[in-house]
Amino acid sequence: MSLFTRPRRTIMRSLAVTGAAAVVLAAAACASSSSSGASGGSSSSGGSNAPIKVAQISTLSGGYPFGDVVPGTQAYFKLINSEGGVDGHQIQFLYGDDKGTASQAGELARLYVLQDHVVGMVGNTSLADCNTNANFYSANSIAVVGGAPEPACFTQANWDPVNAGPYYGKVVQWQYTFDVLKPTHVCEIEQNDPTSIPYYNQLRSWFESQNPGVAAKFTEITYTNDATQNPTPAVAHAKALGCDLVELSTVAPNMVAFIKAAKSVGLDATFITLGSAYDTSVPGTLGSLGDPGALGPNDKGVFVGAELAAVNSANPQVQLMAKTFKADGVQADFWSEIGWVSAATFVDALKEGASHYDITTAKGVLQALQNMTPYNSGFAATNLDFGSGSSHPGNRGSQMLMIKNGTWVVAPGQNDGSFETVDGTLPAASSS
Amino acid sequence: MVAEILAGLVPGGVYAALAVCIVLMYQMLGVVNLALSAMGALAACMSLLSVRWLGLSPGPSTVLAVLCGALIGVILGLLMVRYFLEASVELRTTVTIAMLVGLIAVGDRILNGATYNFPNLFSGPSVEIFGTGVPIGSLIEVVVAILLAVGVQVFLRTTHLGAQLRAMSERPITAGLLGIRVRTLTVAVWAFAGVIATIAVMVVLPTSTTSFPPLAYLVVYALGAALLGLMRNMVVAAVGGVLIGMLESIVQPSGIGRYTDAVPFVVIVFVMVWWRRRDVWSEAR
Repeated sequence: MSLFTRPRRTIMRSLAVTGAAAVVLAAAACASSSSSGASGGSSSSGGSNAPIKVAQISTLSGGYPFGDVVPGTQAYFKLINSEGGVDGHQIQFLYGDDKGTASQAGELARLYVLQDHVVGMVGNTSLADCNTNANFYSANSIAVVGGAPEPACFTQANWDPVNAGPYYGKVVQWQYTFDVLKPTHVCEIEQNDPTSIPYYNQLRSWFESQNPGVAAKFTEITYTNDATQNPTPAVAHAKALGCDLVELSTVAPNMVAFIKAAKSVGLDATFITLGSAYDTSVPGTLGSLGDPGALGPNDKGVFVGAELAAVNSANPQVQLMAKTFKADGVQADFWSEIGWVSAATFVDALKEGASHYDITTAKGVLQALQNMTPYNSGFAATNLDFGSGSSHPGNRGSQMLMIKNGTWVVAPGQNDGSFETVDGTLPAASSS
Repeated sequence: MVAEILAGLVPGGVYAALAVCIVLMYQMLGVVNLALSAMGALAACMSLLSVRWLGLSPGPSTVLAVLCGALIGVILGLLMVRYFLEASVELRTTVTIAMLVGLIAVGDRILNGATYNFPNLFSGPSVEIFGTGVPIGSLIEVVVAILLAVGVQVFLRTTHLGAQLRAMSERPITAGLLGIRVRTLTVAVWAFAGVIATIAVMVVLPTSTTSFPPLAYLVVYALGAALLGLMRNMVVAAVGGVLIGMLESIVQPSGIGRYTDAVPFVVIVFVMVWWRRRDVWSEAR
């Protein structure tokens, strides 16, 4: 009996170890969600013509995840496919998570373009894609329409952002801050991002030169890895400096953490954040803490500069998105809007160009985009135009929203559908 | 400066509690548990899910999270005693890296970038010290972490069970032959660590980012604190945790704030060099 027992135990033990290892590895693989789903996530439902294959590279995990871009893009393509596709072609959509790393962004771009033969990139919203893949996209005639969080996304011939981005967004934020909110001491807490800090500083100097008297109100500029660090020290510092307004450039979970930390240290201030923090779940998560006056008499509320229209806007195109998202169970926020608007802009250009160009090839898609009529998405301050230029300023405005009675509403000084815009274009980044 | 130092009590309390557990596990079980804060963070996620799915109020959901922390500790402890009881410290520690990766993978699926309202263990008003509000939970955590360190050290030195645990850490096989329930005690220490890590993470969660990886990597700061106690002295480790929290808090809003992540590494390198200075000098001579 013992002769049989030992081998059996050994086998059981080996199976248990293998099983445990498999569970851990499977879980780890799941964590890189999008990479495993990269070639599998598809919105195609067949059709008589060959499908138009497109892909998306986004940062879906890590400290600054833009996870809802994917379902937002999928929802639009699903809608278009259900209506017969583009010129009879169904759209097939692949996506992948670059985790904010250049190596992963580069690998995914090569996978999609060289192996999967996609004809364009739609909805890319990544911390690494623009810096990493510029030359690769250009060399392979791949057009990109997506969300831009980095300066490099705005200065490439093949890359067209649908959002204002952190720079136009920042200037709009400053305009609204000093024109409407009129604080006396501003503490600005910026991301510790080496690629954007120099241009932020350049823009601030430019803005100060355009608006006399503003410079003295910038009390402190702090750089922090807000996603990896506790926000309490930064808000305690802001309190010690007597700041009555805190500016942030971060995503919604981190903004919520900052406001809760402000309450815990007794900071009495208004909070204003870039559109990256626009998320419909924020008012519910903050509860009464989001209302004006919750932090004290200096607290005029929690504001965001939504770079695309508020999801409860009366605009019919926004309403269509909200209805589709509800049916598909997609969270409506800034990131899912970027996915939707990117896909809508891309499809609009393809529909217009289908009779002139071969939209099943990368070159044809690029030509269709370069020659498109500027598209009124209903979401942006300015019409979206890919064009043939070497750079794309994108959408040059934001709509200021604030939390009131548990929901986002249009902030004072604005109307539904109106946007605070930047006159002209921003100064180019200096080479230094 | 005072405001920033006091703000450091918030992360400092977490680091202190985690550091005590790291030293405890290293001394008793011969493992540097790199998955410690991930265990606590995953258990804390259970409180979120229990609120969302079961509609529990903060009190019961917190109790459930602490029980989950113990359960996670029991499961990982059972894995350790089943397969790695007689393995080297290096191998056991490497196994905790695999555990860390697994826990992050699961936790990242739960906290997927949205905003969350974690139950607040201490939702009362902050305590005003020198004009700065300090969350009452963080003050309690700092005090409890130091008391825990003192208590565990006294417990190990003065009680029969403490003597068994020390015997187990020194000579596990001999202790087993003498009738000490090595496996049970090992699992119990893992469960205890799971409970402490869960409470530590839950105190800081209401005012911290709700992305899972940063919560899992809190252990790095705690490792710096544990090294300050030379992986032996829990009280020094706890105080070290508070000091690292304060140092981080001073550096973060300063001109070198962008290098705050380097704080634990600076502490670790400094302690390692200081710890081994005599060896190096002996070698040189």
